[in-house]
Amino acid sequence: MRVVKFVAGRFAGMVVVLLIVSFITFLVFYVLPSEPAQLACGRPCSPQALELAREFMGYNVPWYQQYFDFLGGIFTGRTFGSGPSAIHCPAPCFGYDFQNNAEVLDQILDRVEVSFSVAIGAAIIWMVAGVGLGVLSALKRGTPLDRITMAVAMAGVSMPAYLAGMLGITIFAFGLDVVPKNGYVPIGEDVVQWAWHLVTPWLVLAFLHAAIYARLTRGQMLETLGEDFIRTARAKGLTERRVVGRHALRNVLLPVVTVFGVDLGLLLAGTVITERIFSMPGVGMLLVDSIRSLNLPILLGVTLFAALLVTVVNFLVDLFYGVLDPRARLT
Amino acid sequence: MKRRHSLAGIAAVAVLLAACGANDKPAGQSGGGQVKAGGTLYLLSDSPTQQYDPARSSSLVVTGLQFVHRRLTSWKVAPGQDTTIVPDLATDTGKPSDGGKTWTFTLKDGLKYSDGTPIRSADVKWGLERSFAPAFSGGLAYHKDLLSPGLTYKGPFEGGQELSSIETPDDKTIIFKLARPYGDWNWVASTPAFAPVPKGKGAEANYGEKPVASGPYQIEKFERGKEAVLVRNPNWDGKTDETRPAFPDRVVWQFSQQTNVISKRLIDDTGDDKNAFGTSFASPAQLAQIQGNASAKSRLVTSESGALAYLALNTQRGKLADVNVRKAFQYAINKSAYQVASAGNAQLAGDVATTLITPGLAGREQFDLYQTKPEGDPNKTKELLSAAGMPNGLDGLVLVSRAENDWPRKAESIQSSLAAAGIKVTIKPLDEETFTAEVQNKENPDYDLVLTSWQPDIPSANANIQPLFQSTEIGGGGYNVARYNNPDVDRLITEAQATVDPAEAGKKWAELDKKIMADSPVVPLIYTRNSYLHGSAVGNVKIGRFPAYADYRQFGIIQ
Amino acid sequence: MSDPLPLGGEVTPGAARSLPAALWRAIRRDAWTLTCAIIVVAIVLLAVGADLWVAIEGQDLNENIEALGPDGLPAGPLGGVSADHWFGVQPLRGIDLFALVAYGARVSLLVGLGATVLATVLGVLIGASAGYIGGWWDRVVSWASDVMLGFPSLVFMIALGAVAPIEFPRQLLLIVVLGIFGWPRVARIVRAQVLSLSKRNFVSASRVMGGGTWHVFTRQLLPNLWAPIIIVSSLTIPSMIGNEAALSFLGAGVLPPTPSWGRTISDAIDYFETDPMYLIFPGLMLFLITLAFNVVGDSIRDELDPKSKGRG
Repeated sequence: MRVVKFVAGRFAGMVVVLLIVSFITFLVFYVLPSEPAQLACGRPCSPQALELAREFMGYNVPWYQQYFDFLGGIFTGRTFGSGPSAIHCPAPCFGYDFQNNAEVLDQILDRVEVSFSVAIGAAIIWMVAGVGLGVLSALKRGTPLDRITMAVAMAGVSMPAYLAGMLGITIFAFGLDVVPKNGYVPIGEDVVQWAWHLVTPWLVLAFLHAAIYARLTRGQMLETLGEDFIRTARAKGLTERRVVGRHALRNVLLPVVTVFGVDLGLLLAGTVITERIFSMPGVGMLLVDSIRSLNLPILLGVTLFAALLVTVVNFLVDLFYGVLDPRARLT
Repeated sequence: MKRRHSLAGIAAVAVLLAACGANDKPAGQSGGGQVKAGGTLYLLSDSPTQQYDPARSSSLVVTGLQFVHRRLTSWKVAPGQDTTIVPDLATDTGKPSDGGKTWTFTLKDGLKYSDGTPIRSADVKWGLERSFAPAFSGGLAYHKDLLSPGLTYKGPFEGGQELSSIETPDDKTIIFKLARPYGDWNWVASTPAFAPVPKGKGAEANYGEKPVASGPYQIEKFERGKEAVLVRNPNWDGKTDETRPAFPDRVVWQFSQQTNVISKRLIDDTGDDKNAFGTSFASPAQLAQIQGNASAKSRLVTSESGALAYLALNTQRGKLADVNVRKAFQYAINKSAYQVASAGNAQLAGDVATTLITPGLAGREQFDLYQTKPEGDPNKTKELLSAAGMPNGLDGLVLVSRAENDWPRKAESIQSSLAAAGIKVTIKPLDEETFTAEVQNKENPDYDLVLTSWQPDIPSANANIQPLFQSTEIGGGGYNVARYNNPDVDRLITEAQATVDPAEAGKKWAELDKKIMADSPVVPLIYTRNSYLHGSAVGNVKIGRFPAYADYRQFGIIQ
Repeated sequence: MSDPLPLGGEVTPGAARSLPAALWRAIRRDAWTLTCAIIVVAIVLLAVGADLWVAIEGQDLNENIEALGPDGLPAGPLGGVSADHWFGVQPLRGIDLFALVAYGARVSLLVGLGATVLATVLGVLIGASAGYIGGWWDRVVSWASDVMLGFPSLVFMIALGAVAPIEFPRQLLLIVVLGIFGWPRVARIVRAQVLSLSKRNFVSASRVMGGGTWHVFTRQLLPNLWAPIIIVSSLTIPSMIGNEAALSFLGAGVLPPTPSWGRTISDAIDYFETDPMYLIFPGLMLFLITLAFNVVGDSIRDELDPKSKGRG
């Protein structure tokens, strides 16, 4: 029962979060001095043409009406214009992008594969490498291995993403010419090429994040190894492997999972800088492009999508947290 | 990395190869071969799509749209020559009557669409009617107010209304009854909306992804954000089309490519990239790199002129309302530094501009009302400001520029120049949309200066002067960002537009050029050159005097 | 960019008062920390005395196309590095790169420190109260931080930049925005720490012994939070500096012509192959200051957290 109540509560919370995020985004861009209908106005653009475009796109009504139209579209779909040239956006309609003539949801879904490929691949590498190195470092405390790992990790933590990305692409793709320069190959088309095109972004992202996880894991590991229950476990004569694997690691994973949840949520929603640097047409690129052209429907859609992912992942982390740590039970 | 715009009216950066002039060497030079029919041409584009809906396109006659769509008239473009008008679908460039109020065009015989059906005059009319529908607006709209003043016509889809100002007495003839005399209507007939759309078709929003083709190619595959594949249109007859040699068998657009990667691929020139052409202008950083690579340097093509870059002075604001203050600005700008900030050096950036009409347009006269060194004369500015009652110069002016591409750097250069002349400005970089809203749409905008550029959409001085200086173009989305309002000039513009004889009209525009410059609403900076990089197997890459865009129609693969 | 925050549990109360001492001990103990502390001091001095250093160099932030070669790149090798131009000059405009870097340091540090202070204050207040009070407030905070974390701050920054009047100081705007978007991370960590502390024996004991909420919070929790707070903030500085640079990199930072490392780096990336020094100087500075703050922050943590120190 407690679990059901917890899940229901969190779900309601998620909906509230999404409503707030969409509302704020909407408001921010409503007060922004921009004319979304301008693009459909043409050159030269007369005031009458502008008014017609606004009317067609639904920008001629008050802002709260526009917001409700948007929310309504999610459940009932929307129709822009009338007659044979009307544009239908079936439910769930997260808006229609007039600049590119496509439903917002379709555009996001088209790009989800790219962002997920980048994020999940990198996440696997950095979790394995980061946690592995962190544990190793902690166990071999003070050895050259520990020192080198931590120095590299420190450099990784301190490296701005775009600098690392640019260096990666300049050295490996432009300079040595060993990896593809850019682009994305769908996994359904050719798995090998898919992975090959993703190698550099994976490694760069993983390098930046693995550093954080290695440090985090090492610190946590060292602390845990000093705790009473580990001493007890050792005293009971358990093997070191079992002590580390069963008892210590479980404790170490708590903060790692918390940070991982946040990172993964954000990454799945598209890595703005990485995708830009590696020409990966993912959700992050969509966001940057939509900001540049103030494409409000896309912006609203992507923002909601990002918020959704972050909240869902956080929700999962909270569940996981409860499983891992009996002390911090669900509240 | 950065988005580069290839729209007319938005300039980017240019370069001139001093030694080999503005254009490509003969086709044989690159690989020993000749441009022949056949092969695949790759177009590398940084934008996520290419608009193939004629109603929504602002493509010039020479670029992407023409592969698929023909229009009533077209342009003859050649290096070193003024651009002239030639027929495309029509048999001639239109017959004006009624003092330029009525224009009659006749279609050529034997014209067919890609689906084999004949192209009729009613289809041209339908295409134009379609452009009035709100769902399909967004393209070049020079025809709209002349055909339906005040845009009372809302397109053919709702209620099935026809546009009464266009008559099609038979399948070959189309007659335009304009709201007022318009000498450049034959030029307007070369804008995208004058492409035929089979009557009754094109109601769907994504018509641009599978349009019925009238040009040499039809769309085989279209995937936004990825690629578009164009293959030969079997029903296109080259004998009816003198402007398109249509050499390649296939044309492949590769969308959403990063500009730095495009540049790198073209410099490397391997595999399919030998057949590739970069549709964005080379940036200053790329130019610097190309200069250091002999092979790439030989594959760089540069225009001899281009968009007018200018500093607009808000003539309705504060001290700038005083013509004597505005004149002081003419001497303040270090145009040499501006050239370097634009593209590295004067040759690469484009010539210093002193007139409003860009080179390559009929009737243009070269003059300079405010002669000074290219570096400017800050002391003269200070003197003039003193004489106008401002011995301490000006302070607190707001300079608006775009936030994209190289604009912030160029704005900083202008800021430096002005500071040296005792004029302190704050730069306000705005994204494209915000720029439009703040500068072009606001009732009482709060800027003093705007750094921008203008590339006319048609090769007529009209398209250079009217949108920027007629008082009807102030606010409401218009481009008169100097907010210049001179009833005399307004009247002369209307007169010049009504003049049908090109030579006479040219004279009137040149006079207007001088008359406007005497009021100093803008400081002309440079005629911005554009340059393109292409693979070694792409031949016939040429840029005419106008527009400063490569003529895609001529491209061929060297075999 | 998450913060590396391996926090120890029980830290001696009153750790805040011993911060200078802890720093001093860390510096004396480890040459690596000493080096990094020196780097921090050097870059702070560079930023504070930018006018002086640039005057000594004999340059300013003015355009100088004489320093450029015929293709707009700096004249001379190594991006124009010379006795006149210590770091060379900027391509296309000929502005002295040392001056750009020195004045850019000012913006980076100001925004980095300001945003850190704001984020930490907000984060500690919100996070500690959420963890301690719990219940509906904890849920609200949790939602709010979900909103903040899910909201692309870049979008907000660009939007605000366009709305804010041009007279409004852009540095302040950056501080406020980065601070507001920065608190959830701090709050999460502080909340977790408080939750974990509340379950511990000494807090429970204090409660059982009849300590009021406020009493327990100020007497039992806060002293134990000082160390994590110091550690969080010392490690937030570099991430804020990085965020400022990232925003400038994406064109949403300070207005030109105010120098900013992020903007210079963004511009310089295009010139990496023709004028690498243009990227190397500001890029290296950004990397160094981030690294140095991280190392120093790390060492302070080791000092303040006896358990971690014993094993460090």
